[in-house]
Amino acid sequence: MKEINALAAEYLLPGHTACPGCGAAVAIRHVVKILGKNTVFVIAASCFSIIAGQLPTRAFALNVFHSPFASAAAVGSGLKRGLQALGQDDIQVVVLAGDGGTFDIGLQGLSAAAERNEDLIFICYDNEAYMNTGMQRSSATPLGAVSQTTPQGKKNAKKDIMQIMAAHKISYAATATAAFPHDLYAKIEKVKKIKGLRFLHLLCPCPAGWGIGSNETITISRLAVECGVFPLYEIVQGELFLNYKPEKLLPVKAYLQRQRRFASLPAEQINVMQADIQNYWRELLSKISTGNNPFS
Amino acid sequence: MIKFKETVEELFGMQQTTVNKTGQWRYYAPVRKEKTAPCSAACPLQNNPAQWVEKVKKEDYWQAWQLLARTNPFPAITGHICAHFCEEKCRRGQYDEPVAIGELEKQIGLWRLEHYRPQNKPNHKKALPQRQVAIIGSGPAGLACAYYLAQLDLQPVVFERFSEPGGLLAWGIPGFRLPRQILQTELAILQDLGVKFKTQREVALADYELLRQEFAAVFLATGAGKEKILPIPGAELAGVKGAISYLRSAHLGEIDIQPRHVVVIGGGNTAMDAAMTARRQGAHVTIVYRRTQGQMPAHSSALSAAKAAGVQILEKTEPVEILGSNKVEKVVLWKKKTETIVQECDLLLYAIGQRKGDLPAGLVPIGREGVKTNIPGVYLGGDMRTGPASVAAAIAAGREAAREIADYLQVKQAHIEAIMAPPLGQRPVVNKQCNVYFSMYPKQRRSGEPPQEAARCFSCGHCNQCGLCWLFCPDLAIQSREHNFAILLDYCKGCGICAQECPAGVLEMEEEEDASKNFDR
Amino acid sequence: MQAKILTGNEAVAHAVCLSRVQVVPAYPITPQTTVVENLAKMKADGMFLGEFIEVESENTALAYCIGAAYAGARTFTATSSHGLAYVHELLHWAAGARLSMVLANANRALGAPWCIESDQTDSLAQRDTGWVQLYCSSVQEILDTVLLAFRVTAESKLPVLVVYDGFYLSHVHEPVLVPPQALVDSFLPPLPDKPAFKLELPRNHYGLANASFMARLVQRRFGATAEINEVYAGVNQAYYRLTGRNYPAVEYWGSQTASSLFLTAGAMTQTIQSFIQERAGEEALLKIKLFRPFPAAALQKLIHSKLKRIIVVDRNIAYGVGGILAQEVRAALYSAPYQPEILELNLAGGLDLTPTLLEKALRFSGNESIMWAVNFR
Repeated sequence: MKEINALAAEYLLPGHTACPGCGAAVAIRHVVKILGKNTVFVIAASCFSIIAGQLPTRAFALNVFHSPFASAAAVGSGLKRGLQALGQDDIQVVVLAGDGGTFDIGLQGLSAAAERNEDLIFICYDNEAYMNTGMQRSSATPLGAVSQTTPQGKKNAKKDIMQIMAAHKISYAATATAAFPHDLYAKIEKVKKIKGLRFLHLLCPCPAGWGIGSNETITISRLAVECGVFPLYEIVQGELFLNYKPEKLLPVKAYLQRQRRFASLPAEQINVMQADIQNYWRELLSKISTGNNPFS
Repeated sequence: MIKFKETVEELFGMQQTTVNKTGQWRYYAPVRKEKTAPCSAACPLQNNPAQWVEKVKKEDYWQAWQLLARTNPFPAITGHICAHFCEEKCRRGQYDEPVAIGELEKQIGLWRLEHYRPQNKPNHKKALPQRQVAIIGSGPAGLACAYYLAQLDLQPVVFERFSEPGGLLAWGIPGFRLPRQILQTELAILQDLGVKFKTQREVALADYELLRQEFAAVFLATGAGKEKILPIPGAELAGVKGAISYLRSAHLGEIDIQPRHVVVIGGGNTAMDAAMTARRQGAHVTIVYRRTQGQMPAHSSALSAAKAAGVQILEKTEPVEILGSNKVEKVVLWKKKTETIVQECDLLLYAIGQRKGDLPAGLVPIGREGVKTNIPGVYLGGDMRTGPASVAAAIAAGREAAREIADYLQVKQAHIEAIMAPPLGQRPVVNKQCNVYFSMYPKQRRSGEPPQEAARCFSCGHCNQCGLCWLFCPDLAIQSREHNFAILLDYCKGCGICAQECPAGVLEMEEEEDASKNFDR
Repeated sequence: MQAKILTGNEAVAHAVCLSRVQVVPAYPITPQTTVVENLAKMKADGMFLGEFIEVESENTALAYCIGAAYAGARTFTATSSHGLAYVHELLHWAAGARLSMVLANANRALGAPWCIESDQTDSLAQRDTGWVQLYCSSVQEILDTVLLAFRVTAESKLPVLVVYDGFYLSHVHEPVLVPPQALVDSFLPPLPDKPAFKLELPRNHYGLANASFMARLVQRRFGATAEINEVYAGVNQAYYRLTGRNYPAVEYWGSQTASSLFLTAGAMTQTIQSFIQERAGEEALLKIKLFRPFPAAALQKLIHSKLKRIIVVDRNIAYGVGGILAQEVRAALYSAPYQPEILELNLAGGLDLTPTLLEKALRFSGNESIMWAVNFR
């Protein structure tokens, strides 16, 4: 395992205006740290439109270009092609979008960029709702979660964005969370080296939106992995590799009961969700490739 | 106010967000509070493995030794024979396997013995009565006291009634457990540091007042009293011996007969040592213990070593009678209070404990613990004070005595603090379940390589600069520096992730003294 | 110069080629489709050397241009009608970000219902997005205007919309003088060869602004847009010197003593020109080339004391108001010394402008301010 160098330069700056305990801020801080200075960011409308700094300030030590909500993948693609046309092929273009900008309004552009295999890193920081507008449901909001637009709990299950992306046969797709920084670091190091569209799905708990303590961001991320809600895996050229297999999945209740958005879930629904997770796991495990991970 | 003299391009982020003092949002601030780890709390020496193990991880054995020596000057010895209560309480044990603290301690001890450079201290040559301290007894308590006093530039003189110093370490613990060479090297180092040994000098305890006149201070540490005798019929027969005296005879080569069937009564380390010694003589050995194996006070590794060597264990069994004409021939055992066993036996060893040492008339210890007595300048410690306890406890007593003596002889406090750990006492133990951070601490069994093994330590209660607080801070309010991490209160929003995730339990959130002041700023 | 028979869409493709555009995202929509088809063929034939990307929507196409312009590359795309409406948000964004790019729009009616006739509402409705809008009246003018547009956008850092009528120009063949590459190279600014940003100078490009910051940016942008009149005049002058072809922002054509003046933009100017010519020059025509910024001052100067009536020919509609050009003209003339009567001839929906209609308009004496062409055919 590669050591994380604490002394290496940071590319997210102190004084940014993310809420206290922002899960996305932790994750993205490390993402930019590993990507380094040869990187340009395109940011879709999201919490990061704010976190990146109110003008004339900037929170990134990198060039950041903001993009309208639906268009981030396309703006990123255009930026990359523009740079290629200018002979600057070595600049890494990274698109950063929330779950809204990925699962919902941005999905068409992302799908098309994936189909064209644009040379982009697309990072979805998934806080499972429209948090910047004050917690309205998105198609990434999990079943049963209360939001401002689903006051009685969401009736539909979360979209499986990884399967959608994998269906595009992109070169690399992976899930990660800040609670597993070595895994996150390894994955960012990988995507730096790969060409074509690379997709990263980062689960980023939102203290205000999820109803958790601002200190619980990492703990909840870890529980999401340990309960099987958010497995850490990568899909490399269609082959699935599980990066972390808990010895035994913790009951999903351990994850749900710490979050106020799930406070009114009836016990029977938790049981159903537990069964769903078991099925999901079985399915996931059955898909694990027997081949060698070309990027391990 | 924004001045619009600049070009549009310049306006888009001229300033860094570092101009925003987001620390003003904060109601709680992280503070570092080092605490006692469970391993340290379990240690009679209050040794703090988290501190020196961190140095082993960095392969800085010199620093590791320096830190360790503040609580325990003989890690090579304790590394071999200590019961290592620390490992029993090690939090890593609940995760995969306890950190091999004992083995690491032994490695540092051996490293130190190997790398010791003779000092040839000046006070070794010229005796100064006002600085001389008499230490009666050269067991672990006496030796530890002597070590610290020498380090504090006092002149310890150790009296030993037998021909060689070391007390129990020399003759009570078999060589296969503590190689002779180690004790001899330690003794040689002590001599080099200025400790004088006077062997074959039995000092009558009653003479402490005479000693008191001759020396600046006196430390009495003559060890526990006689072995408790089996209270059953036949205990007076020949071939029925106390395990400690048996071990001493074995050490001195005084055992001429070759026993064939040995029964050892007891479940402590002495019982194990005796059983193993007898086994090495080729005897068939049975350990008889009144409770279960799990309840044995012996170190679990000693028990398993005995079993591996073919020693038979009879649990929940008590001796009721020893049979024989003039010499032990059989022992009648009562198993689980239901079954009677008659075991053949030509040597019966009992290891059921020792009495406290006898105190001279007129000498009264002060309080229930501690080394002080009613006579100023006379101190008391080790098994003599407590009854049979651990080697670690004896060393701790020697250290406490050295501190008291140094204090009494007006050695500068700073000098004392530089040499030894603070006095034994109550300390705040890590109060929450430390986070097991598996990406940093992947599950793995013990390693034979000290630095790798040291890296397995969760460092409970001690900041080992693991950097998780830095890693998980969303606000970059923890700055990584060359040797440590600093909290930048200008930017800390007080989210509390660092305290929540601190695997050592060192960081805590404390309410700001006046949170409302933030509104005024 | 080489004369070729080209359609309007082919002329666009030729101009894009000549401008050495670096990034062209392409998405089909009638009646613009053959622009991208031609570019695709030119790319395949090795004539067009830029990046050609077949995207999945207009939204992505314009967002792609925004990205390419962020990088600093010369970029172009073409669309029509619903495609333009679909990217409304991005039009604002591109102009707000002060990006250089050219977008060609072949006018077409906006549904519902589906209608592909040549109605100008699609582009005129984008008048408040901050784009420069240039209207074309012939295939030659389309080719020339695309070239003009690339220089205007480079000089002003405002995006330029080149507008021409669907089918009437997009699909009509006309002889076109295609300028040689060397001429275009000397006319246009040098092709960008390095990024518009510097890695070592990180910026938060177009991040969050508060009201006062935004207000100042709006003011700057307004100023830059106002300067377009001057910028355009200079660019047009430069092109005129090179080619002899002149496209003033607003052009008076016909008798200086006319009492009736037609005013329009786009292909309809050709119809009106022939109509006036055939009637021996009793009337005049004002051709609006530059719609945004609206050349109000230039227009005022061209309104003389003899004029009694201005007939504004609008093939577009602002519901509840009337023709969009007519609104602009009324606003422009509000403070003018002469205030001729204004009649609107409205062909919204994409009606063909015929000499008959123009005649009827000259004789129109109804009380209504709008003469609906559909009622007079």
